[in-house]
Amino acid sequence: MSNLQIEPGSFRDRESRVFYRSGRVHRALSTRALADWETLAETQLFKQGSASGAIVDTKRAEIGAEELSSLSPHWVGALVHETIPFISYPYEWSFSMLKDAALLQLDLVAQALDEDMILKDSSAFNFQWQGAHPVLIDVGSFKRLETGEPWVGYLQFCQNFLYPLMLTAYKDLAFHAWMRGAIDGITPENFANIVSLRDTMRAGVLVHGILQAKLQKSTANATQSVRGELENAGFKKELIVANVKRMRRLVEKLVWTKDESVWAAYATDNSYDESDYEAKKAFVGRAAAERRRHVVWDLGCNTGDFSKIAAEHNDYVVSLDADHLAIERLYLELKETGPDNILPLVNNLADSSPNLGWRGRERRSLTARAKPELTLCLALIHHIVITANIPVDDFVEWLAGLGGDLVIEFVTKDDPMVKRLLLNKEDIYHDYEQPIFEKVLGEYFEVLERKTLEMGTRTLYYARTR
Amino acid sequence: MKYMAVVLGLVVAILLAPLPAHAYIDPNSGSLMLQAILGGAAGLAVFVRLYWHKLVRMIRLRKSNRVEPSD
Repeated sequence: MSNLQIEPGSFRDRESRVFYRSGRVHRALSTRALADWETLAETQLFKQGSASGAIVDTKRAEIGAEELSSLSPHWVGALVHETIPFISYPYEWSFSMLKDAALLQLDLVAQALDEDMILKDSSAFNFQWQGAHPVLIDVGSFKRLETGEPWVGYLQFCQNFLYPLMLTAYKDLAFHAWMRGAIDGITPENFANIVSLRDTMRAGVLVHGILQAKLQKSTANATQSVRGELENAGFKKELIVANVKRMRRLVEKLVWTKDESVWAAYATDNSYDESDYEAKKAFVGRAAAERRRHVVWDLGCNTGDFSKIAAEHNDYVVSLDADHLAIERLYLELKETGPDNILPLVNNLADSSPNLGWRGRERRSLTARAKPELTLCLALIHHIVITANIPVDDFVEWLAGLGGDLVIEFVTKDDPMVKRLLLNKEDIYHDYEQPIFEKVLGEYFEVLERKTLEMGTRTLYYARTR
Repeated sequence: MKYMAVVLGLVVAILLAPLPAHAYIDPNSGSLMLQAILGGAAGLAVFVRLYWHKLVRMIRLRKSNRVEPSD
C-alpha cells in the first residue's frame, strides 16, 4: 500500500496536486508544472518571497519516480512545503485579513510580471496564515507568462477578494456567510444586483462590478475565444501591470469604518473588578504553562487577553470569536505588536464552518481540520446555552470530543452578564445551573483545579479529558 | 482626464447597448475584455478593435441566421 495520501480538496489544477507523506505536505507536479517550478525557483520573486514568509517555504522533494507514480503516472516531480500550523478559510478571516491577503496576491502578481511570470489563479483559498502574516501556499499557481496572455485571475480576484471587501467597506455587509455559501465567491452579476445607485459613485463599483456583469452577459454567447482575440488585438504585459497597479490602489483605499464608541467598548465592557481579572489571568497562566502544547484554541477570545497568555507558553494559539469586529481588532493589534503565534478567526461555534465543496471534502469543518491540546472556554458557556439554546451536556460533550485539556469558566444566573441575556427571555434553561454543569463536566473530565472568583458568580475549572 | 472621459463614454455606451444574453458560457470572456478597457490608453485601443469585431460579427449573425442555438 502506498504511504502517499492525496489531499481531497486539491484537484482543480490538473498540473499539480497536494498529497501527504510521512505527515508532511507535498505537491506533485506534471511535466509542465515542473518546468514552471524550475523557472520560479530561480526568480528573485521566489527567493525574496520565501525569505520574507510571503510564499510558503518550498523545496524539491526526494521521492522516487516509482513511489510518485503510485499516485498517477502524470506526476514527474514533487515539492515539499513547510507545514502551516492551522488551516483556515477566507470566510473565517476578518476584513483586514482578507484585504492583506488581497494586497499580497496583487504584489505577487506584480513581482511575477517583472520576471515574465504570472499567477494562473487568484483564489483566496491559496492563502494561509502564520499568525497575523498571510502566506501564499499554492506555489503551483505560478506559471510563465505567454505572449498576449491576459490576467486570467482577474475575475476570480473580483469574486474572492474585491467584491467581499467592497461589500464590507461600502455597505457594512459582512462577507462571511456569503463566502461560506459560495465556494467560488460573489459573482459580478450578484454584486451588480446588490449595489445601489449611490454605490455606483464609489470607487471600483461601476467598472469592476456593474460593467463587468454587463460584459459577461453580452459575451455569454461568444463562439470565439476572447483570449485569442485579445492576443491578436495586441494585448501586452504592460496592460496587466497597469491593471494590477490600479487594482492595488483601489483595494488599499477600502476601509471598514466602525463607530469609535463601538470599538472602544471592547476594552471596558466586562463585569470584573481588577483583582478578579488578575486572578483569572493567573489561573489561565498556570494551566497554559503546565506543558508546552502545539495548538491551543481560545473559544470566544474577545480582546485576546487570554490568547496572549496561552501564546507565551505554547507553540500556536487559534483565537476564535463569532464577533467580526473583535477579530478585526485583535488581528490589527497582532499585526502591529505581535506575538506572531496567534491566529485570530471569525467563527460562531453554534454555526461553525462545515465541510464544503465537491463531495464535502474541499473545505473542512473546524474540528475535522485539527484538534487542540488545550481549549480555553472563558465567559462563553452562557452565550452557548442561553443565546444559542445549546444544552449544557451537549456542549460539554463536544468540548470533551476535542480531546485535550480544558479551562472553562461557569457564569451563574446571578451574574450581571447572564441577567442581561435573560432580560427579555423566559428562563427555560433548567440545565444551566452550576451543580448540573459540574456533574456533566465530571462525567467527561477530571477536574484538576477549581477556583471561584471573589465576585462569587464565576468559577474557573482546569480539567483533563477522561 | 481626456482618457477618463473616453472610458466613461464607452462604459455608458456598453451599459446602454441592447446586447443579447445567454446564461452559461465561459464567464471569463467579459472579464478578459474588461481588462483591455482598464489597461489605459493602449488597452482602450485593444478594446475598441476587439469590440468592433464583435459588433460587426453580431450584426452579421443576426442578419444571416435568426435561429438561436437551442439550450
